Amino acid sequence: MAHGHTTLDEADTQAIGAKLWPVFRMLCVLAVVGAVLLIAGVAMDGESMKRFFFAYLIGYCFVLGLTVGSVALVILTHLFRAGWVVAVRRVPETFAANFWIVAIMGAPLLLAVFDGEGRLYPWAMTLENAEERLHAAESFIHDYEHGHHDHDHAAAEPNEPELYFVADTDHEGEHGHDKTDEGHDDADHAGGYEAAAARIAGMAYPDDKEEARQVQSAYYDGLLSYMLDYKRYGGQLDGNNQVPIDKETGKGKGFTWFYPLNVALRMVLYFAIFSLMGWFYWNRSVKQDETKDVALTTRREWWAPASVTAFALTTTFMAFDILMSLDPAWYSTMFGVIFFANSITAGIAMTILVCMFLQKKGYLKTVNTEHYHDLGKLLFAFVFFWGYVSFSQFMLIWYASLPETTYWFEIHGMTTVETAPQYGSGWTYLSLLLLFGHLLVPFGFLLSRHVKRNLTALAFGAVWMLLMVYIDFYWYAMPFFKSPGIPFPLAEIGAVLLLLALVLAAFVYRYRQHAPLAHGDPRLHESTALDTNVWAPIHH
Amino acid sequence: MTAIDTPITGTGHAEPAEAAAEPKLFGLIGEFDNVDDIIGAANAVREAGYKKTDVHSPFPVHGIDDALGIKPTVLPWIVLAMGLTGMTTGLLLTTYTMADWLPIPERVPENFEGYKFLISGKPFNSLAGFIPVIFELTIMFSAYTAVFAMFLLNKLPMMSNPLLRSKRFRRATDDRFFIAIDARDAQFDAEQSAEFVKNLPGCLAVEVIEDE
Repeated sequence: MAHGHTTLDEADTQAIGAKLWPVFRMLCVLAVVGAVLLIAGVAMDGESMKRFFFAYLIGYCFVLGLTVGSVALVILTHLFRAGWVVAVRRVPETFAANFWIVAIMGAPLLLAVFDGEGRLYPWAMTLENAEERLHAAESFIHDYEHGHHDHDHAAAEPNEPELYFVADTDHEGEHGHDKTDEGHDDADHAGGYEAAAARIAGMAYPDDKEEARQVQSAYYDGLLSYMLDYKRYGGQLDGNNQVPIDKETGKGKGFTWFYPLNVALRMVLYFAIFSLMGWFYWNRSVKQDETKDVALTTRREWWAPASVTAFALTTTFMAFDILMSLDPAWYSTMFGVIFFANSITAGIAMTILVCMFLQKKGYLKTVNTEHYHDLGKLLFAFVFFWGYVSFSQFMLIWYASLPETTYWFEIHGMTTVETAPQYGSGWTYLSLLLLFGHLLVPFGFLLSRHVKRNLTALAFGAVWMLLMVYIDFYWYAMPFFKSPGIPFPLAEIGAVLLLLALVLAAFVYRYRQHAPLAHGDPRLHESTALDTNVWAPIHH
Repeated sequence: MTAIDTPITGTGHAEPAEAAAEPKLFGLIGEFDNVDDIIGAANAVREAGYKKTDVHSPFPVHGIDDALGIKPTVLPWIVLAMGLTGMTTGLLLTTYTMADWLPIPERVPENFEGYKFLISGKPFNSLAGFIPVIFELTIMFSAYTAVFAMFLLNKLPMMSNPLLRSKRFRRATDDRFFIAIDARDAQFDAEQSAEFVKNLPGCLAVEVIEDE
């Protein structure tokens, strides 16, 4: 008996064909159910289109993360020339190969980018809409500050409306006119969005929570509208605080990062890179099923370092554009890493679950406890990785205490300002749920090898982590919907059900066309050799 | 076995002649040249009831722990305990140094009361700021424990091993697999055990190794 040689089951080396049709049909039904729930949930909301965009974006980020994570799993294991993964690799490969389908599924979001209303992304507003919001916010705040509060300087400058959200160069040093708190003078005089952010961070909220929410929202609108001009036109304000407009074309001058067309083109570029990588690794692996050509493996491995580099940059900028830009004024360089951490967690969890399902259906006979143990170790590692980077993001912003970044956490309920509208709200509990549910509890749960080797426990852990990844995306996006509390998540459930069912249906459709196992891979014996039953019985 | 039990040669004691003629045994090794045979041998040795056994191979062999019947190591529990100790240490250290709510008895000199540094305008009881310290101490305690407890459990450093006196055994780092049965094993009998190992399928040679 030569060591490591196992006879492969015929079911694993031939295309599955029609046998998975019932699964495919069931997924299509689920997608329809999801669509109905989404429509119902959206119709019940007062701001239907806005709600649709948010629900769709969160569900979309989830399936996008899942697919990005599958790409990551494939290229990373190629980078390390991992042998163990070969037995399960066809699963993430197939998810990765479907990237172009996921990319097309993002099309409804283009409407939010191009309709000029800025329901989802504030930067997508037209200049007219933005100016309207800016002036509304300014007059609201002016009324609020002069109407509701008595303070020393208000009397000294009567009838002089102040523009809080534009560079305050004229008044520099004249008066320490901080309306809300001491210690923000520097930020105040810096003008612009720092001043606006300082006002949010240091503002004294009214006692009534609903009123506080309106005040915060007005400040916040001003902040975003200012940033809209600032970012869209490269921050090149002229002496009169006006955006320089080209007289002939009517468009702003300067580098237009958040010009809707530019964002859309960037998204196309990101998706093209991902789709190409996903397709390449899947295609060469499928080819290998027939040719058994070792050169196909060396070629994939040769491309792995470049792929990882491209992957890192693409993921980071995609996360900035698709999720972080919900608040274009806020920035965190850790954001792309957190998106990646969520993505690969979802990718690994989904690989575990799909492998278990396929084994139930009689495929992937070479996959055994050792493979699940290894996947479980990776899942465990990225549970902690997520916690590490998420906490780093929070702690650095908390420690630096810069108003233009801290207000973001206030809006997400992570605040000690008791009068803040989000203090002790649903968002606070959602943040705590993430701390415990996404980090501490699964860390303790997945720590033990006995859990990782117990398939029922591991399946539970994988489902749990998928749920937490979704909730994390929800937590990132939904506060910008700016409803008084957490709205009943019918639309969100519908959207994620629709998108997840579609992605899984696309997976089944592609998966059934080829062998379930990458049986042409020269490292296959390494992976099947993980089966210690070849030599000795294992007593589980 | 303590050092006192070991017969010391060259002392004034008049040892019986048989003792000198029959030196103490360390154990025996059986030589194999492939993974499947060594796994089979390990299974057979375990089933025959030997407990103090080991396998020496040029590379890690999957499943050898099960074949030899090696019990799961206690190391993870030691590491977990020390990790929790590190976490507690970090928590106490940061809280004692910074926080202002700890009930410190009056007779503790002022110099030992903790510093209450005002850092970046943060409150003294800032758990978020303490977490990096707690985290690092948890990692440090666990990592050092993992390494040094592994040394202790493996009885390292061991400066020499009687097995290395066997010329045959040197191929354990190259292309041969050896099963070793310790002479201290309750079932060990130099002749019978050697015969048993010799008859295992694939066994190339058996060598009985003397102690010192």
